[in-house]
Amino acid sequence: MSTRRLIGILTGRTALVVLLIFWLFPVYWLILTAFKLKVDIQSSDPVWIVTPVLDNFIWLQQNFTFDPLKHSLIVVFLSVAIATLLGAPMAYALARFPFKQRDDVEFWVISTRMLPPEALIIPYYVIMIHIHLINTVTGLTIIYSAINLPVIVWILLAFYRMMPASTEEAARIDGCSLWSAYFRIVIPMSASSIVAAALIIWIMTWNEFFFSFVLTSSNTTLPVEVASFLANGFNPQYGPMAAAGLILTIPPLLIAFFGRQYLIRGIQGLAGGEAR
Amino acid sequence: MKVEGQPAPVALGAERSRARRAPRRSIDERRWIVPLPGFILLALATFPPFFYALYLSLFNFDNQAKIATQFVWLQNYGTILSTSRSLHAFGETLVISFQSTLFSIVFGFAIALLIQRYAPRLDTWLLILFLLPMIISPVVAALNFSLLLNTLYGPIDQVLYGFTHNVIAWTDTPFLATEVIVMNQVWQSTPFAILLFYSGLQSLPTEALEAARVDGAQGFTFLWLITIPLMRSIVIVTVLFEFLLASAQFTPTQLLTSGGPGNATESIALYIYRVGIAETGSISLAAAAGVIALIVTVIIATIWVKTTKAKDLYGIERDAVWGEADA
Repeated sequence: MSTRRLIGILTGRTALVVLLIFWLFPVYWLILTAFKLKVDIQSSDPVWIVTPVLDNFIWLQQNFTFDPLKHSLIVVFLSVAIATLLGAPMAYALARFPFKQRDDVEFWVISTRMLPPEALIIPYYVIMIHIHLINTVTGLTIIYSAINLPVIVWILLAFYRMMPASTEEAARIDGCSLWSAYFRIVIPMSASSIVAAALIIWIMTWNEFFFSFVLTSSNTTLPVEVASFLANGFNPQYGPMAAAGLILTIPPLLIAFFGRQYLIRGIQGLAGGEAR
Repeated sequence: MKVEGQPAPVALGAERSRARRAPRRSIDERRWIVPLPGFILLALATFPPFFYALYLSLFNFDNQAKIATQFVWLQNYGTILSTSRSLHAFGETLVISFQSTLFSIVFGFAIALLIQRYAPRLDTWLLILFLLPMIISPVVAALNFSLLLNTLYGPIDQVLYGFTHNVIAWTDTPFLATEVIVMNQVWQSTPFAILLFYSGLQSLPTEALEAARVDGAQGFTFLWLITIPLMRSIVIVTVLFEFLLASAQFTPTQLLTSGGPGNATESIALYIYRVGIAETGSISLAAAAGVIALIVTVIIATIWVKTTKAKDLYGIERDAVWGEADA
């Protein structure tokens, strides 16, 4: 019995390790390619390990501007800040204020989060042309804020539902107004959930490709710039492409390792509920 | 009957009672001021574009002036539902979504189960490592796979060449190209299933599991008859979420296969982008396709919301809502 058990555990763990190696191999290959010489990238036998060289990054630095990175940072930080500031009170109101059509309003907010981007892109595109916000950082910021809003509401709503109302009620009885109870009691209590939600939309916005690709051309963000390597057709510059891809991947990776608890909670929240 | 200079008695009474309860009521009456800007932004970002898309889809569109010109009833919808290219795009999206959902669910459940059974102490680290593909930009994912699957320099082809002595052109046949897209999608969306299933497994009621064990349930029987039924609502939510994710995918089809060979892997998102913006500029046609995609999504989303509202997604009861009693 105990030998069988031991074999079972060993098999299970081996399976996990093998799966993990396959799972992360694409990431390893990306990092490897980013630090390879062109000779190694275009060798006819696979090169599995190299001494890292920075040639590809230097090539990037010589041939590209920092504008896409700058646009990305501006758009992401602004839209995440706007969505979090506007979204947290919305979630609170939906969780705590009783009113007749609450279920309908809630359904509307949640359903906007599931709107397929391809259904919105055409009207957004035409509207942006008419209000002269096409190919601008401002236009992109507005759109991203609106897209991120329901995500924040969705994650925080689940949290506020789980949170007992008694603490706020005690504060109200002691003379706090509704919103000062919210800012002094509820926000500190829900800070970790707000951080989790904000990190999630930070990553989603940082990675976003579709809207940025369609709505901007010269004032574009980093993912679109990186993607332009692939669109180059014959003989793309694989080394610099991998290096650029790695630059795009570093911030989410840092978030994943340093904020892993938040990230896990945030992604669970994405599905409409947090685990305890 | 109103007498001038003398307010009606009812109004007077109301005035008095409002004055008495002034401090509490006035705050609660203005409580919507704080969340209101968010609701307005959301309303502006969803309703006008939606109705504008409906409007555009019923008209012909002048691509030079960027305005709708001529009312054509449902002609654009007719075109969408009778052109082979658009029907193929819908079909291809369905094929990709079904396959991605299936593989994501199977892989996700297996990995979640393995972590829970064999390495529960390392769960956070394992989860975060398995989650990595999800937090990587779809652009980088596509770029990864184009590196891996490159026919000349990609490691997969180079290793396979040793066995088969054949070069596999991954994006040259419709079948393989579709599978490449599915692979990319599965890699990126499985982490979500892993995480959901893992939380589901964690929150299963231990008494029920114990009871089933005592009754002699084991192995796959246990999994099939006890674990999965207990996780029913999580499974439903995950399936729907994976399906929605996959059906909206744009990046891999655009970057890995450019919809090719021919239009074989053109998903609905790519079709809308190409027909509406990139190629011909038939905005109305693209808008009509978007409306159809929207209707399909709304149906799926409704089922999802109804399921999550069944409130025991993680076995959590909805908390009593503040003020429900006096509403």
